[in-house]
Amino acid sequence: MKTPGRSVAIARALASEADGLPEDFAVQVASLAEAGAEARTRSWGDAALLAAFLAMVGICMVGWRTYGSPESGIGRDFSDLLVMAASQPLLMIGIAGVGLIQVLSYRGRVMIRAKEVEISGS
Amino acid sequence: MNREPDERARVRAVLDRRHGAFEALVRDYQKLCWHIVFRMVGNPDDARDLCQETFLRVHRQLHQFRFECPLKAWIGRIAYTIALRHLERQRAAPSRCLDDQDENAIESIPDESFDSEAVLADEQQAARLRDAVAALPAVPRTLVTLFHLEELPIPEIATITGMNESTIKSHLFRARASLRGWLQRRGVNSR
Repeated sequence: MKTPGRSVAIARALASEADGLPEDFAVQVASLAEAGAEARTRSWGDAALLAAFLAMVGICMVGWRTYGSPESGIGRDFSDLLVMAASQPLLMIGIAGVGLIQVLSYRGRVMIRAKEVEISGS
Repeated sequence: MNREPDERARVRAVLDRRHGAFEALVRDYQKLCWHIVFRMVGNPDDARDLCQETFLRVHRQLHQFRFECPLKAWIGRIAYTIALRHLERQRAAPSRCLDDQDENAIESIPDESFDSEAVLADEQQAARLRDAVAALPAVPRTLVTLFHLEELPIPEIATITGMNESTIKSHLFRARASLRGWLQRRGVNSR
């Protein structure tokens, strides 16, 4: 089939019609896209931090089980968490401290994000 | 002229999140996107949202672009797909469409006799020609815009729409004939 000829008249008629996009469309879309990319990166970062925290807790538990005092029975039996916590206070404080730092840094990131949304919305 | 090195540099700049790179890309292709989406959906508000959706998807998926076709066609393809899905979701016929009488008229009018240049004697007639294009069904309307206004080659239109080239040509011939019929019925001198 032969190719149809182009029509200057149709092109001109269509070209004279203004497009309906706002003048700052490119700026708006670019900032939305950047915010989306940032959020995706952050959520991966959050997931990585959580995974690292869980891994660290796991390593602590393995260490506890391996090197825990055999007389206390702690190395073999995890049923009584309170007894375990009482017998290894420094380890528990360490885990709680890391957990607290994680929570505080997550809270900080959430607050920064909220501030950014507020600024971009205003 | 080889477009690929330029496009590679441009895509790299966006992927590296260089300041202003994506904004420049949007600015360069927003008209094409508008032409595709607006011709497909026929509603300016929906078209604006869908154009935004198109570029957000372009930003998310740009790392998947393999330079197998021009960047313009790749972006056009995304815009066309988003507009098509929107139409499918809505299941709505285009707001203004050719009626049966118009469709029959398409067949009876020889395409070669249509002289659209003569139609553009004044702005009023240009406006009628725009109305005539707007009265086409969504897909031919989009094809007419891509071919006559954007001056895209048929293979690139095929990449955007996923249609084969002879189907596109057939649509274009029929659309042109229907434009002539539409204008003649409204008393516009098309010869």
